[in-house]
Amino acid sequence: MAFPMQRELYLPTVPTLTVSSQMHSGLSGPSLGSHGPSGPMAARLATGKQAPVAPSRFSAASSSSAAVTVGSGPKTAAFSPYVLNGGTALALAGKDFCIVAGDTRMSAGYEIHTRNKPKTYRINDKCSIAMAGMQADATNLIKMLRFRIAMYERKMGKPMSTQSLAQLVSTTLYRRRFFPIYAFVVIGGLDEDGVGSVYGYDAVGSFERSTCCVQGSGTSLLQPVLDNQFDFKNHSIKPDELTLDESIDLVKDVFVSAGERDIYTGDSVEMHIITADGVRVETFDLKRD
Amino acid sequence: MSIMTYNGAAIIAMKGKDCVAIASDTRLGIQAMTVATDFQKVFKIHDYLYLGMAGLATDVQTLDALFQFKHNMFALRENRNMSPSAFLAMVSSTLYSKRFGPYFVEPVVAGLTVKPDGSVEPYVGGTDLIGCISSPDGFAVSGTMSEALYGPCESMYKPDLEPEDLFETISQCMLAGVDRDAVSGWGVVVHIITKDEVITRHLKNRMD
Amino acid sequence: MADLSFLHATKASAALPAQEMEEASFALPAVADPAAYQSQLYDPASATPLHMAHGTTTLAFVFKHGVVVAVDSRATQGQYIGSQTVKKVIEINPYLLGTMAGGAADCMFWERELGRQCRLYELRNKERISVRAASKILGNIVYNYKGMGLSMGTMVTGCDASGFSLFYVDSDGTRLEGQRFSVGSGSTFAYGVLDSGFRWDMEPEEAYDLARRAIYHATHRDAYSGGQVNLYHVREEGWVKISADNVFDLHYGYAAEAAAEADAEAAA
Repeated sequence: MAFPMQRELYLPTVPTLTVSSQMHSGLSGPSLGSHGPSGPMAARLATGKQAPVAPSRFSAASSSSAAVTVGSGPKTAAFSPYVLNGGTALALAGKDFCIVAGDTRMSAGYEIHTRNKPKTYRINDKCSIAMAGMQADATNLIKMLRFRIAMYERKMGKPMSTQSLAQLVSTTLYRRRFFPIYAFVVIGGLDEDGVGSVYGYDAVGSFERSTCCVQGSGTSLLQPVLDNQFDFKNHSIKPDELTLDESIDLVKDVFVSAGERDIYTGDSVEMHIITADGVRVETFDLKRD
Repeated sequence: MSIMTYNGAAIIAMKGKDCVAIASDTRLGIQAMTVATDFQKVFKIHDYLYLGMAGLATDVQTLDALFQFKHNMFALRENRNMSPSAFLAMVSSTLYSKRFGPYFVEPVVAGLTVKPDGSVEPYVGGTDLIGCISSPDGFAVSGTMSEALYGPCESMYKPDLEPEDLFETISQCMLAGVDRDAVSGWGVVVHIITKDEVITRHLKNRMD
Repeated sequence: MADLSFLHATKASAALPAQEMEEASFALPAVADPAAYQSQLYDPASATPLHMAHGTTTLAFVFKHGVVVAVDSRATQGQYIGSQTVKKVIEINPYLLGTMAGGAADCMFWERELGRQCRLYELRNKERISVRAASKILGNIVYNYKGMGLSMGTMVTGCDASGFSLFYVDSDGTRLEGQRFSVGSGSTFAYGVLDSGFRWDMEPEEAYDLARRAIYHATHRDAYSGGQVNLYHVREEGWVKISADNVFDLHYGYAAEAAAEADAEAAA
């Protein structure tokens, strides 16, 4: 071919968390265990370069705390890095405003860890992000994003536009294609024309602009309601677009509904209301049962 | 894949003021493939009682025949119709009799109970696939994506709606729900049961 | 354009600060077999299942007046319809189109990367890349990740010095040149309509109608396809978007058409 192909083959030769002395059984790549040449989790590629490896904290956490299967052959610690903390996040886009909201309950299984952990994060005067899913991954993702946004702003001398942020979030999520970030992101903000814009994502970075998007445990409860009451799907006579105040009321109504049926949604809602004047934060209470 | 979602279905029953409504989609699918768009999932038991069944289509038809038979036998013996709550109890015990090899069906009933003074009292209820009865205050749903039906119902339902308003509400809930479920839809049929008549309407909705 | 340099973690990037280096690759889970681990992540029975946007009907065919590309617009996550308005035709550049089936993120990301590579080729060689070469870039990229769980079935089509061409590329590493392809969960339904109606010397309008009907019939039968039918035509001077029709309108439009025809026949 007429141009250089620089792509390298990343082999999945990451060491297993083997806890017995027997190794290599059934493994295709070299298993370095914790005796590898460059740190506990580093592995070498066939090409001689550094392999993409998971952060080393996973090896420590998993090998010490996870259950060990006892039996014949190599004993491997279960690797379960995910926990579902539940909760619902949504965003609505109007002609000249955007609402980003999320409930503040954080739970695992049938236990509520806290009633006051907002899922909404303000990025700049024009946009906010909300995330449901795993709280730890979400926190880490927002940290990575803030770093890259700051780098961008330094370099470009201007705040990042909502559209650019949308693409950045996608590539950031896709970078972890083979070890997904367990966070379901929705971005709400104003685009370059001041029109409300919402971007919804899947866990590995597929995204789309829309007018309303729900993410998290209440998705299948609330999305059809917003389709009907915000986008006016299946209305033979389309009413006028909702105003800001009507939209705020709708957000409150749908969260109350979600609280009735979804055990992971409740306690209170933090809502970022984005207009040309900036971001205003409002909260309101939900049932605490 | 669960056998409950093999054919696809969506059913809602709702109470109004002296009336009830029951709506279902009309798709029969084999997993992702739609094979019929006029499949009956809501069955008339008598003028004041309709039964909807979501789940495995073969069991839906088998149970329809069985329940018709049982209700006919009751009507012959007693010379009266079953009340909705009595009928649901019969449904429940029939399903529980197969506790360890169940029918894969979640039924919903909508009906009017005739009171001694001649007035009618709306009733909706449903059971799970082994017959646990629930008779909620406002609405009952069943189907492959019950959350997508619960959400709109929870947000848009109001008690004591007149028949026409009840029709509009149940229709919008149904349409909103099936438009987010890949394996139900392809036509919706709504029955409004009032003291004097049963109004049946077919909705024009998305066929994809 | 977003910084994609991490895709090329070569020696040149060793000059980057440590922080950048650390991020300059795809992270892998700390397990023996990341590919097997992947499939377990997407298992709906898992306690924390992931859902990737999925499901599709896409088709493309070469005929006398170019290439017609038609796709649906539904994304499903399990049985839940995540979106009815996905853009499954990816406009790589004014002469190249890619289609999207399988994992939405995979297609979006790698076809965006393909667009970048094609632009670089143009800058280096002062001429447009051939469809053949472009599809091979994509094929090589996904082949490098074979067995890692990428999921994409895509068609790359366009116009170059050798005329119109159409390639099918998927994440198993298959790359085929052909005259007619349909990809996705509804492809069998689309093939049925397409094959029975295809003629090489169709007029463009006939071709559009055939493609639209093929996708429509697939959306009708396949639960995981739907939304709207997006239609593109690749011509010598580049591609043009022809139409975007909601399947709701198409269904009742076709039904009315059929009824009118039946009436006319009965009258005759």
